[in-house]
Amino acid sequence: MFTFILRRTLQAVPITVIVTMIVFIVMQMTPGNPMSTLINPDAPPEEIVRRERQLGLDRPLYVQYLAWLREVIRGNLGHSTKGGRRVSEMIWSRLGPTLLLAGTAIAVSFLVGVPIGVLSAVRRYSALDYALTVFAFFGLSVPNFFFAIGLIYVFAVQLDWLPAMGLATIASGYTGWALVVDHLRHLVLPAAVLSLSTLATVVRFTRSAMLEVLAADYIRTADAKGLHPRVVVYRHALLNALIPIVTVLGLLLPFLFSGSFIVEAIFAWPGLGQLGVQAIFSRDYPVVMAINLFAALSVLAGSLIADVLYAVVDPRIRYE
Amino acid sequence: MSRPAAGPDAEAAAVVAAPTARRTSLYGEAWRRLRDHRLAMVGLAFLALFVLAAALAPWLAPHDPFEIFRTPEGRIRIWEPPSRDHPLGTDRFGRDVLSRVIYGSRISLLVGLSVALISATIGALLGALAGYAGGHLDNVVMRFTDAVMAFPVLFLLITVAVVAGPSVVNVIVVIGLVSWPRICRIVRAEFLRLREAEFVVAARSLGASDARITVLHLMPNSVASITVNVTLDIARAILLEASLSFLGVGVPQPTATWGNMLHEAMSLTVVRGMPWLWLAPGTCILLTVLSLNFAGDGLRDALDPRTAIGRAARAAAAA
Repeated sequence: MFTFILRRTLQAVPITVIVTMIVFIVMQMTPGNPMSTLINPDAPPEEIVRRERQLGLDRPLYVQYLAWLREVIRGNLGHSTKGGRRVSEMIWSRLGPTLLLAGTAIAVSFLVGVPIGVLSAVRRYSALDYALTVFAFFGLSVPNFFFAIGLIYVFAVQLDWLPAMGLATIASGYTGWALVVDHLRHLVLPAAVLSLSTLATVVRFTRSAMLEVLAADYIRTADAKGLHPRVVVYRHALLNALIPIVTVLGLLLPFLFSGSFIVEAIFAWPGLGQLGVQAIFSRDYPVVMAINLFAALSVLAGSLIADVLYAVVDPRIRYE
Repeated sequence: MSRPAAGPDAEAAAVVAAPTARRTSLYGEAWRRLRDHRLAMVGLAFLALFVLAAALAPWLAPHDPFEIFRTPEGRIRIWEPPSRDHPLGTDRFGRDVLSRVIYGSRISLLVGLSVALISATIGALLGALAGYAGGHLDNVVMRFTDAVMAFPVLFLLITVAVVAGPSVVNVIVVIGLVSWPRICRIVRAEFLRLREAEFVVAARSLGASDARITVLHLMPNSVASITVNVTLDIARAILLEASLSFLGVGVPQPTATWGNMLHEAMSLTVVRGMPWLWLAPGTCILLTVLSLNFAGDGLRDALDPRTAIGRAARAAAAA
């Protein structure tokens, strides 16, 4: 177990290095000198000169890359070109809303997607399976911004049931329970949009994992000894089918990040995605590149965790 | 992956169906299976319409997509609701929405096909190289592939698109450059699996060169999975172009694309009061991507002989 985790972690190291290189190269393509944003613009002039020399701004690119990497590892992601705030602080302050939104989307995808996938597999080739399959393809095909606009039109404009903008009602004066309800009402539409494609992925994955398990000999044995079909499906089949589904969690993260940029921009959700889109429109490249880096590293960490979880629940993986 | 039959009848039908299959070519057989896939056929039918619309745009569109319409008094007809002259109304520049929707299919088609060409070329080359050579080269290529896949594609795209400047060509190149890892992985896996297969060993012992083995023996075996993934790549590319243009960093005005038509719906006024502006282009994106995904699913079933029994069983169960 320990050697598996160690080996898997070591595998992630070169990928992480390549990710940082890609970010650095794209940064070099942006106008202005990205390295100079690592220096606090409010520092005294002699301090700035000292830091420029330390970062190797007059040295070859690979020296600059190493200096940049050292700063990133120390948590210095540079300063925003708009207002000079530390980028790491800006990311940190936007993390909460994004985690809330993405976490809700993940929870919805699994809590709703797994039962639907099981149903689809058990009633294979029935009208229900057919309908659920079409629904899943719809979820994978609908552009999330179009879905968002449609939901806003129906639920916020026509029916006026739910708010379409922001994290909470501004200056509402709500406290306690009313405040929680207000937040939840604001969460419904963006979470619905963000979870649609991930939900569809979970449904398709659960369905094929279940089908594979349901074909196994031990399921026929369980059937043959007269167990109740529900026991066979849920206790014998589903528990085994759930093992590969764990890995889907790692696959969903890039989806969620990509989705959150559009969803947060449309619903004015004050998270990382909105920050990123705003930074792009104001050409604030240090913030843009830091978010790219942060997102890619989170995805790598996510897939590492998913693989480790997979090995924890499935001993066959560890000894491969 | 083994597939269970739907029931004892289907199982029997599958067993009977297999030997009665006529001796046809591999692709003839695949086409027969594809024809049985109802959703794929619906998808292909719609795609045919879509290609037809793109080809015949100048004859189908009621107006010039760039023409700015004015009232007799000379005022520009901004944001007019649907009327007989403009079945889908006019946009914020007073242009005919229906004509722009029809012309928009050309950009989607262009972006989808060009991106697929770029990503299939890069993906197949790198995948073949990694899978055939193995060892260190394989390691380097695959780690690079993993790294590219770790980025949330959309945001990386937005970044590069903004830096490169908005244009159709930039959108195509940028999407192409991030789309190849999937095909690369699949081709590599195929090459790795078949590299030591008996027919390859036989060819090698007859003195075939690496190039000959790669092109004549290994690549044809990857064509099926490349085809399926090219279909899905076209769908993804169309979605990505639409997302970029929706955010205003993709294909710029005055070119009509479904995505940049939806850009207007960034404003709540348009969402609330002018559904004709966003309903049609959004529906077109949805239907096109849906059709491509159906077609891809059908192709996967049709081209992968391992699922053939499953298809026969499905046909039997449906009958």
